[in-house]
Amino acid sequence: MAGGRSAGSIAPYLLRRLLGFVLVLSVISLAVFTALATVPGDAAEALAGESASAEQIAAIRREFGGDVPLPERYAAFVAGLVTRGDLGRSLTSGLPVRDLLLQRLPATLALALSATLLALAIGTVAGAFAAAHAGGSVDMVVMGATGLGLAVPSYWMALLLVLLLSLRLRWLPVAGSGSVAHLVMPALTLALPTAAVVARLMRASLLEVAQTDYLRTAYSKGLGRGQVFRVHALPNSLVPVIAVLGVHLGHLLGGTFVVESIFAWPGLGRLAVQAVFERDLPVVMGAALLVALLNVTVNLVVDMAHALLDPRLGNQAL
Amino acid sequence: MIGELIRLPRSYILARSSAVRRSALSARHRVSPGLRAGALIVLCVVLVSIFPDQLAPYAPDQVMPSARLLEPSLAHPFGTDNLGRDLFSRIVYGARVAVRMALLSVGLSVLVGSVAGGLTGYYGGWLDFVVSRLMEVWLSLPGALVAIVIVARLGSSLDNLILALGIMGVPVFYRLVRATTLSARRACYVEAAETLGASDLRILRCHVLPNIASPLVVQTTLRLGIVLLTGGGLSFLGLGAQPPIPEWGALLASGRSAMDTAWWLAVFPGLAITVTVTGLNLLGDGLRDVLDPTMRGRPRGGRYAN
Repeated sequence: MAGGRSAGSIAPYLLRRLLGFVLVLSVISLAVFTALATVPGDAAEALAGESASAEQIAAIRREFGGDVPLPERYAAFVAGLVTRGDLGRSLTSGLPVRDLLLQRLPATLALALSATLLALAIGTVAGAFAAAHAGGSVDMVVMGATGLGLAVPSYWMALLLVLLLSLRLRWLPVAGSGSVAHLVMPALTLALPTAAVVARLMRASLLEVAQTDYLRTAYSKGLGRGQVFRVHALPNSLVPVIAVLGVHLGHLLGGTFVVESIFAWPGLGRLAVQAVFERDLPVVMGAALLVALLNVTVNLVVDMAHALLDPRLGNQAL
Repeated sequence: MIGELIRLPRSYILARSSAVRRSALSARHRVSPGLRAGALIVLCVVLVSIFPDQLAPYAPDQVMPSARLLEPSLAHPFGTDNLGRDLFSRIVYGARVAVRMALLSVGLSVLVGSVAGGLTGYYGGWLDFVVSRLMEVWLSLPGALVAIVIVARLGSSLDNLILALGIMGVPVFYRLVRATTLSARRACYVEAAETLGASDLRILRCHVLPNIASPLVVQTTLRLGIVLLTGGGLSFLGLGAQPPIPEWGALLASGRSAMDTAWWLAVFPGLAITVTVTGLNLLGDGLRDVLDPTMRGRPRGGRYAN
């Protein structure tokens, strides 16, 4: 039954989702902690590398707790994280990991948000365009472009964009941050694969909606094409897009590692990659946890948006 | 004993039990141009990877100081890099690296994921519940993140990258095999086979496996492309194949600094990746249409998809 749902039944649903959220984060944090925070003491020297000083080796030993068993160390880690927001200290700089992460977070959020908006804008328009000319050459061109968008590596796309727009045409700066011009290429590179997926989904969804009874009813009521599209076709065709959006935003977040590194964008992804090079595992762990948190949060928000938008689904979920 | 007497022919059970029955005649009509193109591309890449010595004019690490940063020409179809190495030869040898990386890592994912999915799907119980929840969490994480965490722990090398990519893909095949096993498990013909005394192993082999084959083949093909993209990305960053291994992503990275004057260094390795992944995607989609047209339209995962 579309439409109504009682306000009182939202609460248990929210509670269930929040509990699931906490549970998922716990599992992820345990996995990441086990992977990255359990370097045995005698491997500390190997971890530090050949040119490490005695202080650095001692710092690693301290950081990784030596002989304390894993469950205890994990519990201590979670306690520290929850009460003080303590994520340890960087092995290379000695700075608190939390500070490093918070410093870089806004840049990644700005990039990810811009890329998402770009992807949605380009994808929905392209998909709608292709659906409107379904079966024609325009449709084939758009579908071919999306196929390419799914096969082209983002790092190659980035290089080509830099080659064309920065080096040849000199329209945009090569790398760095600080202005909107710096944001254009990273956001575009990050957005394109998601735009390709959104375009395909949008097209399929619109074509499906076009066959429905309620659309024919709308026309028969005398509504114009524009109105039918805006009020009936578009909202309904967006729902399946939103349903899978969470997964693709997760991939977008994964793409920040490469894109930020290429464009020297000062975000979490670049921090994580540099930390991997420097074998600075506390920073890698912190960045990984934060990215995972963002990912899980985005999925939760998108799922709830989907449940709210689709009354049919909303009733089942509630 | 009764089972021996009333043993139904395996072909009869299979014919009844296949989720999709397709005659050989109709299969031929569904071979699309995309499938042909994809198969051709993939075949070419595989052939190149098997016979690089015959195709490449130079050795991949052959340094020719007098031939630095040459434009593409007849002698050097893709030009040379800053050390004077022939890019075409490096890309040809890179095909072997790519094929090895893709096959080993996806093979690992398929093996672990399928066995886990098949077992938990078949036997169910609390183990199924726990493992499925874990796999869901695993699946929800960005693939690049999982791969980076593993490489951070183990160190940057091609072998560690292959391991990381393999681990990244396990939940995809787990979910696929488990779902197919579950639906096959509940089918009447399995109940009938059990009644006739068929062992668990026989049921798995004769009734569950044939139904898994089609989606598994399709997903494996698509997954090979994803692994190439992600693996190339990590190698590009320097976290995977180390120089002088001519991995295509690493080739892009090494050519980046000279890109301003030597555009070919930034173009051809990326082209190799794109063409190969396009071929795999076309092949995968085409196989899906041939093997099970009812699967068409199911949303495929994104580029870095788990």
